[in-house]
Amino acid sequence: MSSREVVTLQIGHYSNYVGSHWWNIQESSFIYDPKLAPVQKDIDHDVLFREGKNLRGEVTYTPRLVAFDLKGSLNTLKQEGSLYDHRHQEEIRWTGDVTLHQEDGADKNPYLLDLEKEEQLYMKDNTGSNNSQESIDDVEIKDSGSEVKERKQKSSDAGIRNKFYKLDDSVTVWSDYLRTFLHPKSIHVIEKYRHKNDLQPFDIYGCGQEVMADYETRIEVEDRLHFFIEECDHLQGFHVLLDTFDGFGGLGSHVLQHLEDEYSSKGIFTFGLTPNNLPDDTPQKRANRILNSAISYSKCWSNSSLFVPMCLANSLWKTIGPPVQLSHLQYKSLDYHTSAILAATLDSVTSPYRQPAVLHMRDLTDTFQSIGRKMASVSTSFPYPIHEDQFLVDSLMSIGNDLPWVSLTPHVKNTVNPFLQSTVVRGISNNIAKRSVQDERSPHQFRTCQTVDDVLQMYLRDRFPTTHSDGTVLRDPCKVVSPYPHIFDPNVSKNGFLSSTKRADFQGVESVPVMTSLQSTSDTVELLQTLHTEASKLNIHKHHRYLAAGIEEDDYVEILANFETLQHCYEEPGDMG
Amino acid sequence: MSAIKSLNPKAEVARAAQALAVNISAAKGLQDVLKTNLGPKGTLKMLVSGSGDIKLTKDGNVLLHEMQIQHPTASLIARVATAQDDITGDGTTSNVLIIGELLKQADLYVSEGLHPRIIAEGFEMARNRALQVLDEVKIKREVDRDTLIQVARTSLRTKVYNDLADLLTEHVVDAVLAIQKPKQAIDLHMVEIMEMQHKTDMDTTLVRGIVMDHGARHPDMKKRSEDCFILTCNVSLEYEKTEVNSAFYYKTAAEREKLVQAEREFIDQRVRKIIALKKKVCAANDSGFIVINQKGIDPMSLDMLAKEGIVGLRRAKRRNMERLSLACGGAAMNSVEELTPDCLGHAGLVYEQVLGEDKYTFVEQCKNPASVTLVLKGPNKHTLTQIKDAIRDGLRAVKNAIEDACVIPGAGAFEIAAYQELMKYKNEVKGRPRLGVQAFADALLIIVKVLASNSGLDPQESIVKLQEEYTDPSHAVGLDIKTGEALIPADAGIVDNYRVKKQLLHSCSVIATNLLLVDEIMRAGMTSLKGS
Repeated sequence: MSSREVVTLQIGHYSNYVGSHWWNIQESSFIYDPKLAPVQKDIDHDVLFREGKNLRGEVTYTPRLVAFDLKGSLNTLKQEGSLYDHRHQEEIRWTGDVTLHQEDGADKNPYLLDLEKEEQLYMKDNTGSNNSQESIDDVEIKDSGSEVKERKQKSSDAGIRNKFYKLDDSVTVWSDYLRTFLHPKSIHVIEKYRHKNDLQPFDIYGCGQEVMADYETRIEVEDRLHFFIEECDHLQGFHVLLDTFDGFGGLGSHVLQHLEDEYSSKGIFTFGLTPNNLPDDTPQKRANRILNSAISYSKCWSNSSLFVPMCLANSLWKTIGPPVQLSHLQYKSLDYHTSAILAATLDSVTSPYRQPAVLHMRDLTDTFQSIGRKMASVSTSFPYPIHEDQFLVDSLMSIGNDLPWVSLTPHVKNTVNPFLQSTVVRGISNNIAKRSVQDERSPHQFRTCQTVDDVLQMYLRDRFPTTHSDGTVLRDPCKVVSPYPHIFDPNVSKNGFLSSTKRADFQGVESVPVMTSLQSTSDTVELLQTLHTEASKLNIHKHHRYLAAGIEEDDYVEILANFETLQHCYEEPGDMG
Repeated sequence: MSAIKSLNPKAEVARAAQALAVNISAAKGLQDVLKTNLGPKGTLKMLVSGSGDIKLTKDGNVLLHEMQIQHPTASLIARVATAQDDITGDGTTSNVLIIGELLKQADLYVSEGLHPRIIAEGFEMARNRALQVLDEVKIKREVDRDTLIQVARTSLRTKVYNDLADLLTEHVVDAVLAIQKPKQAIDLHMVEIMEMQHKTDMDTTLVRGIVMDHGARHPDMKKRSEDCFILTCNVSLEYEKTEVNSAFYYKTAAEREKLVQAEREFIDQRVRKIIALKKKVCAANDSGFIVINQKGIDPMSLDMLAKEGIVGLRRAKRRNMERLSLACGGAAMNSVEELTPDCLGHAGLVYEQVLGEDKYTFVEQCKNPASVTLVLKGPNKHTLTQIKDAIRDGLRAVKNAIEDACVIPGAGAFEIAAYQELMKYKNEVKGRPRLGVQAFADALLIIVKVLASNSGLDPQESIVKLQEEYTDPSHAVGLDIKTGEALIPADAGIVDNYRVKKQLLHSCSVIATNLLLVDEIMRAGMTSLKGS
C-alpha cells in the first residue's frame, strides 16, 4: 500500500521553530542503509516527506511542507534552499551600469558551520573520481524503494548528531538549528512585513488578512500548496501549525479557509501554538494577545477537522502564567527549548496515522469532532519516567491515581476523565513491559498481558473506565540528538531512562521514551470560558487598528457567540458511549 | 516648549523650520537612492541578501519594497510611490524624484520667509495647469497595435536589456489583444504567467492557450496528443472516506478493505461515464481526449482512464478552470450525470514537458483563445523574477493605453512642455503664489535632468536645447538620450501612459503639500526608536 500523504503547513515564526525541531527529530530516525532497516516500519516517513529529483538529477528527500514567515527571519537560510541550487553563474546583460548591494552575511553558529563542512565534503566526494560509482549507487538505492533517504546526509552523519553543542545563546531564529533540507517551494516569505520590526509590526489579526487580500500573494500560496498536494496519490490531509497570537492568525485563517474550500474531504489537523515568553509589558500587547487568540481560535475550529491549542504556559490571557512543570526536564523559557518539547509531543501525537497501518487521519479527527467537539487538548509525559531496571507495569502502578502526563494545552488541566483519548507510548520494548507471569509482585489485572500494547490497553481501561480510549505503541523512542536542546535532568541517561548515576557533562541524551495523550475533555470549557470572558471585557471600538483592518463589530460579536456555542458541546459529559 | 513635553518628558519634538528640514532631508535621501534608476540608461541593481539570495532590479517599486526604510517621512513617501504603482503599474521612481524636488524647490522660498501655505496654493494652481497641458500634449492618433507596441517597448526598455525588451514587447501586446473583449474591462488575470527554469530569457514565449505546472500521473498516458477534446470538470475521482464508515478503529484491515470496495464502486461509475463520453465522440476519429479535473483522481481511476487512451490531469487550479473554458471553449462540469459532447472544449495540441521533477502541460492551438499564457524562461530564479516584474509592468502599460484610448509623448517631452507652459502661466498669476508655480515648474524638470545625467549627458545643456526647440504643446519635443539632441518622441516611438502622468501629478503635489505644511513632528511612546 502506498503512503497516505500528509502535507504540513507552518504558519508563523514560532510554528517554524516547532516545525524545525519536528523535522530534525524525524530525520534523526532515518536509516540510510537498507540493510539495517527493520522489516516492520515503525513510522512511514513517506507520509510527511517526499522524494524528488533536482535539476542535476540527484535524488532528494524533503518535507511536504509550506512554511510562512516574515522577511528577514531566515537569517542564514536561503529561501530556495541549497538542494536545488544551479550553481552556475550567467552574465548580466544590461547595457547600462550595474551596482552590487550586498548585505553582510549573517554569522553561522558552530552547529551550522559543521553542517556546512559536511555538505562541502559531500560535494567534493560527488564531483571527485568516484563519480560513476555514485551514480550506480543512486540507481541501487532507487530500486530499494522506500528506503531512499536524502543522500547528502549519508557521509559523516553520526559525527554531528552525537557532538555536544551549546546553542541556547546562539539560536535567534529557527533556521539556526534546522538540519533538514527544504524544497525550494517550501518557504514563503511575506515581503510586506519585516521580522521584529516595531515601526510596522505584524501584530494583529488584520495584518495577516491584509497580506492574503493581495491577488499575487494568494496565487503564489496556492501554487506552492498545489505543488505538494497534486503529486499525492492518497492524501490524508494536512497538519497546520499556526501562530495564533499575532498577525499569522489572520493569514492562517485565510489558508485554512482555502484548504476547507478546495479539499473539503481531507482532514485538517490544526495546532494553535503560542510561545510562553511573549512580551507582556503594555496593556496593548495584552489586548492584542487576547483579541488575536480569540479570533484565530474561533476561525481555527470552524475551518479545521480538529484544533488543538498548545503552549508551555499555564495561562495565557490576562497574564502569562508560569512555565508548565515537567518532571525530569530543566528548560528555559526560550523558543528554542519550548518548541522542542512541543515538537517531540507532536511527533508522538500524530504517529497513529503515520504508521503503515490502517488508521486514517480522518478516522481520528472525525471521531473526536463528533457532536461538534472540535477542540482537543494534548498531554505529554516527556520523557516518560521509567528507571533503567524498571518494568512498565511497575512504573505505571507507581503513578497510582495521579495522571501519568501533564497538559500542554493552556487552561486545560485534564483532571477529569476525558470523553475520548488517543494515547501513544513509544520507546518501551516488550521485554520490559512486565515481569514474568510467575512473579507474584505483578498486579493481578496485568497478569495476562504479554506486550506493551496489552499493558497500555489494560492500564487505560483500568485508569479511565468511562473513557473511550485508543492506545498506540511505537517501538522506537523519540530521537533527541543534536541540535535538540539539552533540557534533560542529569539523572536521565543517554537512552532516556532514569538512572541513579549522573550523566557526564558533555553527554547529551540521545533518545527518550514518550507517552502522549490527545484528549477530548469537558475541561476544554475552562479554556473557552476564560478566553471568552477576557475577550468580552475588551471593547473592540477602542482597538481601532482591528476595525481598520476589516474586523467589524458584528463579526466580533459573532466570534464571541461561537465560543458559547462550542462550550455547550462540552457541557454534557457521559453521553458518549 | 511643546505641550507634549509636559506630558511626556521623553517625547522628541521638531518644530517649524526644523520639522521641514527633517522632511526635506528624508525626501532628498530617497531621491538620491532612486535617482540612478530612471530611464533606459539607468543603473541595474543587484541585491544580495545575507544568506546569498539574489535579486536583480531596476524597478523603483521593487527597490522600495526591498529597502528597510526606518525614517517615518521616507516611509510615507515610499508608500505613496508604491501606491502609484498599484494603481497604474508604473511611475514609482518619477514619483519619488518629483516629491523630493518639489520640497527642495519649496525650501528655497521658505528659507527666505515665504509661508508654506502660499507655496501650497501655488502648487495647486500649477498642478491644475499642468493637467491641462497633459491633455494638450496627447498624441492624437488611434491606439492601434503599433501604438501599443511603442508603449510596451518604452516601458520594458527601462526594465530589461533591449533585445529581451523587444521580444517581450511583442508577446505582451499580443497577450493583451488576445484577451481583450469588446466593451469590457480588460482582466489581466486572464494572462497566466508561468515560470520555467530552463534555457535562457530569450526563449520566453507566448502560448495561445493554457500551460499548467502539472501533468498526467500515469506512465501509460500519452505525452502528446493532437486534435483533442478537453473535458474540464470538478468531480472527485478518488476514493474518499465518507461519514458512513467513520469509526475510531477497524478491527481488521480486511474489514476496512471491504468498506473500501463498496465505496470504490461509486467512483468507478463516474469514471465509466467519462469513458462512455470519450467512446461516443472519438468513435469515428482518433482524436485525443483529455480530462482536466479540479478534484483528485486516484491511481485506480487513472488506470481505468489510461486503458481507454484518456489523459487525465488532477487537481487543476481553480483559476485555470475558468481560463480553460475561455481558451478551449466548452464548460466546466460539476457532475458526470449530464455529460454531453457540447460541454467539451477543443485544442489542437496537448503535450507534456518535464524539467527535473516539474511537469508542464501545454494546451495550445486553441481557436480564438480568450485566455493565454506567457511562458517565462530563464536559467535561474532571479532572472525569472526580473522578467516577471517587467512583464507585469508591460501588461499594465498596454492595458492603460487601451483604456485611456490615447498616449502621450515620452522622453521628457511632457515635462518640458509643462515647464514652458507654466512659465507663461506664472505671469498671469497674481501675488506670491506665483512663486509656488515657479517652484512646481522647476521641480518637473528633474525628470529630464536625471534622464540626461543617467545617459552621460550634461543636464543643463540638454534642458536648454529642448527649451529652444520647444514651440507648443502639440509639438512636444523630448530628449534623444543617444545624441543629447531634441527629438519628436512620437516619431521615435517613445510614448508613455496618460494615466501614469496624471496620477503622478496628483499624488506628488498632494504629498509634497502635506509635508510642507507640517510644522511640528512629535515622536513619543515608541521606545524602539531611541538611539536610531
